[in-house]
Amino acid sequence: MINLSEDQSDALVEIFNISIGRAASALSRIVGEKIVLAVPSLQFMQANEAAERLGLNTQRICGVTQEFSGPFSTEAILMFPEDRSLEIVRMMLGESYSMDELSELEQEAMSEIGNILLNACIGSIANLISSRFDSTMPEVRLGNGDDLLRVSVRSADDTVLLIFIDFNIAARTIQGYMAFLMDVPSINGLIESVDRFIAAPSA
Amino acid sequence: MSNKKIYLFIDDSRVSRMKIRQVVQQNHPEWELHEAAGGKEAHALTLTIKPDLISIDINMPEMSGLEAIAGLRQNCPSAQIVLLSGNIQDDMRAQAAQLAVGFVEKPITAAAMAQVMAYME
Repeated sequence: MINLSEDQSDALVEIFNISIGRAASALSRIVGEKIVLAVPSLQFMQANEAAERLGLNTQRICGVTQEFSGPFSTEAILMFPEDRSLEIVRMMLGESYSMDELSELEQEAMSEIGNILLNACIGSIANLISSRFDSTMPEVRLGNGDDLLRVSVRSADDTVLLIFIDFNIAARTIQGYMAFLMDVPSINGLIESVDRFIAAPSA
Repeated sequence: MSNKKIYLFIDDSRVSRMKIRQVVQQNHPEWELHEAAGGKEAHALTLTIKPDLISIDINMPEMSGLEAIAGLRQNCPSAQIVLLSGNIQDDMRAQAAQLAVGFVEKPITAAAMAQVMAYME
């Protein structure tokens, strides 16, 4: 079992708060609407519990995943309800495209939105801990929450740290989610990074 | 003196290329626009066209934007080159500075493209 001290837990939430704020700012510029953020929640759990715990099994999700490796590794996932993704793409591209054109561009557009948001978040973490991450190309996955989260981990019995946040495109009541999955070696790498963040002098 | 500039934008995302074209055409309808989906395609293109301005994404399959810069500079020594990317890590900005190229943060908006186009002004 992994235990975080109060300081570590607080610093971890702070790091993700700042970084997801950066991602939300990018999303706001993409869709031209205000984004309302919740406070991130951190939970250790078995991989196969994650989707159920998050209540994401009852809806179809459009997810964009990207793997990042650096001082720790994580599979980052951006999720939106699949039936709202076309609306997000329309907000991104404007009103001048027909529904057929938007449908044709939907997956590519969601991939680019995921790429920008996930990189804004992880890039911001890299800057906060004075480090760097490499990433894979973004990949779009469709399915329920369990489909998305289950394929992201090596084994359903793996302990994962799920850092989860939901955010709202306020005027449209569109709720999105970001999750960061880490296995035990990566969690240890993350904790070392958090300790360095706590110990670093303020600039 | 003519205001016509040749602008090459390189991005593996078709949607991003559409957005770039849309904004630049609105602001500079006189500019000649070319696009490429990756570094290799851009390299081949710059054997025949000589852009004044090149923007390039970083995170692309086959060849990253950073890897493509040397070849582009060889083919287009007088072009202004700008990294246009969602990869906002300080390390990327430092590499951009080392390579003497500009850096503009995605997403592609009118404001971001104004920063890219300002490299020509």
